[in-house]
Amino acid sequence: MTGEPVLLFMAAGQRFGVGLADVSRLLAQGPLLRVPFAAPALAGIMFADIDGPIPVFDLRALVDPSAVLHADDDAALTVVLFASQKGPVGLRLQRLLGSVALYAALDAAPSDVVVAGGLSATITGWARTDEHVFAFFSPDAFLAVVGV
Amino acid sequence: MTETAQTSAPSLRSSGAAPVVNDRYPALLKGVRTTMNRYLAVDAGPFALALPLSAVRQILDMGGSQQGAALDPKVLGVVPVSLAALLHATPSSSRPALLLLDNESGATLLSVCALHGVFDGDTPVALPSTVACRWPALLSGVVHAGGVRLAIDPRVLVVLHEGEK
Repeated sequence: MTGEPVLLFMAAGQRFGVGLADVSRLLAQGPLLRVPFAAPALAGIMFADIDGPIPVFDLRALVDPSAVLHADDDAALTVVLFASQKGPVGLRLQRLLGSVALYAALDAAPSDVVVAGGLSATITGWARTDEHVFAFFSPDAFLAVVGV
Repeated sequence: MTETAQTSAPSLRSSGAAPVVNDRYPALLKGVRTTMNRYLAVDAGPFALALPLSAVRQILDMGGSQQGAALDPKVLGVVPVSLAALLHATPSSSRPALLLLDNESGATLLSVCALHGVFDGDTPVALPSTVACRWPALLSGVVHAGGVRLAIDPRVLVVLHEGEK
């Protein structure tokens, strides 16, 4: 019941985990530039001095296409930055939950877990800690979902 | 001091923008290449944008809360193209500014929600390919021009406009 350390977070109402090795950086959300003709899940571009322009996505758009993502632009939210194969991906978190190293991989999603909308396509596996079940989030799978 | 800084930025040549040499302190610039682009900072609906100044032939109306009467576009004989509407957004100003934008087939009368002035800026920082956008060529990158703004390519803007007709 162990594995590589995983960062746990909530996004779009779903509990996710992603390997800490895949996380480039955790950032406080700064001002976002709205992008014309952007994919619905793209909340905007954040300009981080060291990292340059970063697209910041919000998974809520995969659950509810009419979600207004820009209402949170001024909120003190955390953005997790991934270095995907196609480039940097910023993901706006609903809540950062911490990290775990003790968990058991599951063969499939538990029957009592319902995954909303297009979120299932971003999930590459499941695991259980002593307290909760979480899904493994894949930045590359997410980019495929949003058409990048 | 007769010496001036020389400019040789390929990106400027390719974009057709006129380089502006900062020669305010020529002694400091001796042997240093300092090339700046100039931008017109505008708002179009929710978008904070920067247009290369070289593409703007004329500012016909500053818009906003000016004292004078607004310029009636009918006088010009053409209907202005709303930049916000062109970008599929809702215009956010009751009195837009009017610009004459140069393009290969003449000029386009463009209305924008707000003008923020002319700014010097570096070459835009290119956006990563992970910026999921239907018209990636429209966005030249991010520039610091009166705040952080998206630099847009006016040539692609004209293509967009032609496509909307």
